[in-house]
Amino acid sequence: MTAVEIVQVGKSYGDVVALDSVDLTLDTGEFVAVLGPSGCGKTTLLRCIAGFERIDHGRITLGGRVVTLPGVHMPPHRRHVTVVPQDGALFPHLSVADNVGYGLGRGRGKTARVEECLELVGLGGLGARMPHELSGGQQQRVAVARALAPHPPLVLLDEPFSALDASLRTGLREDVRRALAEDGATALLVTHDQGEALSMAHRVAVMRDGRIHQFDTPAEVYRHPVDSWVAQFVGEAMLLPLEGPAGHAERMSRLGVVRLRPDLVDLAGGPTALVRPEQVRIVRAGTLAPGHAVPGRVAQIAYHGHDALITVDVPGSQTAMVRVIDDPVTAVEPGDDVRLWVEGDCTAYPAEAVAAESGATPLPVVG
Amino acid sequence: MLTAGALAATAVALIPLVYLLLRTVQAGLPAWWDRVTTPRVAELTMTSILLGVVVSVGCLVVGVGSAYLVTRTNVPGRGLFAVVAALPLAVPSYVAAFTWVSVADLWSSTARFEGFWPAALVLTLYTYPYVYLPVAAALVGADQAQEEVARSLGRGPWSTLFTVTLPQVRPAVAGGSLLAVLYVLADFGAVSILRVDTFTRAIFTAFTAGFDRIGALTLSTLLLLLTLVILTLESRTRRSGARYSSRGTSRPVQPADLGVWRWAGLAGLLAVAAAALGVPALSMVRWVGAGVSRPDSVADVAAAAAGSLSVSLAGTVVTMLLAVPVGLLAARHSSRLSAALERAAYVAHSLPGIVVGLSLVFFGVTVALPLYQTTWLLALAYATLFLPLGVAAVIGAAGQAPPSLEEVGQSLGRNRWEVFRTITLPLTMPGVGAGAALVFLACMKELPATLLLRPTGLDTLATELWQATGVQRYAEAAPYAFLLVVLAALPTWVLARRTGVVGAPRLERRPEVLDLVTEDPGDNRVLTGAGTGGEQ
Repeated sequence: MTAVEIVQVGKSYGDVVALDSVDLTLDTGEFVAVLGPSGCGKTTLLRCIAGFERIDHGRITLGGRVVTLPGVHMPPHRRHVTVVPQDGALFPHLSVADNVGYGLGRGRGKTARVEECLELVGLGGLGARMPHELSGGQQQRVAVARALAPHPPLVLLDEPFSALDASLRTGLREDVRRALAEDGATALLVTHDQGEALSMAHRVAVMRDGRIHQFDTPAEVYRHPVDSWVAQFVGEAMLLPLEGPAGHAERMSRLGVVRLRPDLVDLAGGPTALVRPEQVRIVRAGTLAPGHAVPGRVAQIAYHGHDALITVDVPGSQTAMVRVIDDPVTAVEPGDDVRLWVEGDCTAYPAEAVAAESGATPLPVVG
Repeated sequence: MLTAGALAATAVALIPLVYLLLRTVQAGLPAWWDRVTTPRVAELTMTSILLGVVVSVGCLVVGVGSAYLVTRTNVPGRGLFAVVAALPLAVPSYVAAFTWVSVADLWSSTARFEGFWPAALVLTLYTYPYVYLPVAAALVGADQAQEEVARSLGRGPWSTLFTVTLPQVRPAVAGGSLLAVLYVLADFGAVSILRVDTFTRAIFTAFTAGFDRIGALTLSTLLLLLTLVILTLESRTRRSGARYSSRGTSRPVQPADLGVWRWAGLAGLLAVAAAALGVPALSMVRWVGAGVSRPDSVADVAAAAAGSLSVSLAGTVVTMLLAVPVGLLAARHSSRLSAALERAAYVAHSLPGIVVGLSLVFFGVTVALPLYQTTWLLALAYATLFLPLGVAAVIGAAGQAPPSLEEVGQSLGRNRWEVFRTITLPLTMPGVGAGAALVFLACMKELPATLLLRPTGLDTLATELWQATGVQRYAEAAPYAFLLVVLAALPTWVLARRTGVVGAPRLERRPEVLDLVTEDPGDNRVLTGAGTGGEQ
């Protein structure tokens, strides 16, 4: 069942277009992440859904009720959409239990629901504490419990983990995801953190300049980005120009043969393939390798422990990036001669589309 | 709605300024120029500026020195001196002048304690906290890492002090000393008691003794111009200060070891404290007993206290009514207009009380006659002078209830009024209340505007002290001085706490132990690499 329907929503501040015809639907119980760089309009979208901002175009429907149209604006307190802000925004003069119970009526079962929500976020029994007695991570958990308490049709999370230490973030993400799922809540998370969006959400909407570029499952977004910008925003990407006639799945690139996705076989006119560093295989020169493997020399290694990102100089090209799972047996050193090849089906984009996107990319591109 | 209120409030606060300029322009600028370019005015200008310069140099030496000693060295008793060094601010300048004059005969029975240098001494001793407090706060907040970097690059302690530490607090030093100059220019009580002819004293004499309205007005406009020049300079130091704001996390400062010299530092701090606080204490001890046992003294003091209470209460009400819209606008809507309005409120604050009082006298006589000789015109003067205190309190209070809290409240299904009642009001009331208390105490201490505007027959603590001192009845003045010092000590304490120099906990430490229980960082730290790796 559709819980939230956002149809062609537009919003401008003076000449600045914050939202440019955004479409998004959430099913009941679904967890959707809106992922985009800062300034892409994702927070504006959240504020429009919550009712803190009015929209210029389109409409927003919550559980079948239209809550906003241009000129029609249901105030925030009647939408029953709750928010978890970046800093938690706990009411400093109220105890943890009173914070969580703020959105509940005076009826029976209030105490039980408060305790239930605190249990959900792993803070059972801490209701009597004051917010300043809690750590940053605990405060954020209370903010989540407070948002869940009134059984809202939608919970909005506005970069709720970005102010926390990296060491706390991973555990808290998992706990919050679980708490939302156990309570059956529909949730929309706004974030600029690719790892957060891909690991937490059922579906990810990638946003840029007020538009949703792609709305799909995390795996689809990572493996088959709709354009080269999305490809580079959600992970490290190499964009390789391809040669060879249309109609052939296997084309030549500077990293040897690249096989296209079956539905892209007919792409003509020198398209550009997306190759992730994980797709590149590397062996020492002289070891058994496919015939189309290309030679190279290891330039540097960024070692992360569990894996490593190896930069390889390839003659006739610039560099190639290869991600390998850490393996002491076959480990290479800078200066080693190696051979590389690409495995798996690749997504590709028409050359002119990539040209239009280039220049806006901060990430390394091979070409 | 809010903007309209703020505009109205600022307009009210600027009445004296506008009225003064209007009158000057009406009388004609050539005539004004003729009256300004006389030897007498030149002499007044020279004296005022010279006094300002001498006092600010004195404040720099005493203020920066004390600040450095108590925040960055191992001088004995630095925790105690951090508080003591701020205390002279609690003594209003006219009370200070009274206490010095009233004990001067103990040293020399012939020479009177008056004139330029005694005034410079007294003003320095009671103005240097304007330099001390901001500089000490800046030294506490300054990024230690910069000094550590300088040391690691081979600079010695002295070289680091002069090339890194002091430049870091330069905006605070410049701002503080300009504040001191502003204070000296606006001071009326001390210079009148110590008989130095500066602008403020000349304006008062011209108006009350000579009934020379035009002369008083001319001098007022000149003083106003001088004040505006200093204010412009001060706002520049404020702007340039922004880039020095430290972003680093502050760690406890490692104090420099002065060795034997720490006893010299102690002697310096003791000397300043003895002069600034010992002399008033001596005067109180000497005169309060005699003053209280004087016939009718208790009834007189009670009447003056009642007078002070009533005018201060009216002043506080008017000030806070005006401060709320300006403060809310400045806190919630950071636009150019709100910044300008806030700035305008501060300009009014820097106007000398004597100028505000005088222009409101003329305003009352010519425009608002029903208000003249009522408490409300005096309350208006207080509002003009102390609006920034109220505005600052409202801005601070509004910061306690950021809009995000109200948004969360609304998203949880409560309407605007309920959110205001349950969230905004409980969070802002303490701040607004504290601001009102500060304004109230400032009204109690105010002297020049009160002298000019009080309804006939109404006496306050400040006016009684001034009158008794004027005729050298020190015993009669002493109880008022005592009460005023006690009253003024309260806001000084608040101010000193706010800068973080005095014992107050600077950073609220969150109990980290709790983290260990629920967040289990031990396990997560292993995963950190994975998390950051994926984030690029």
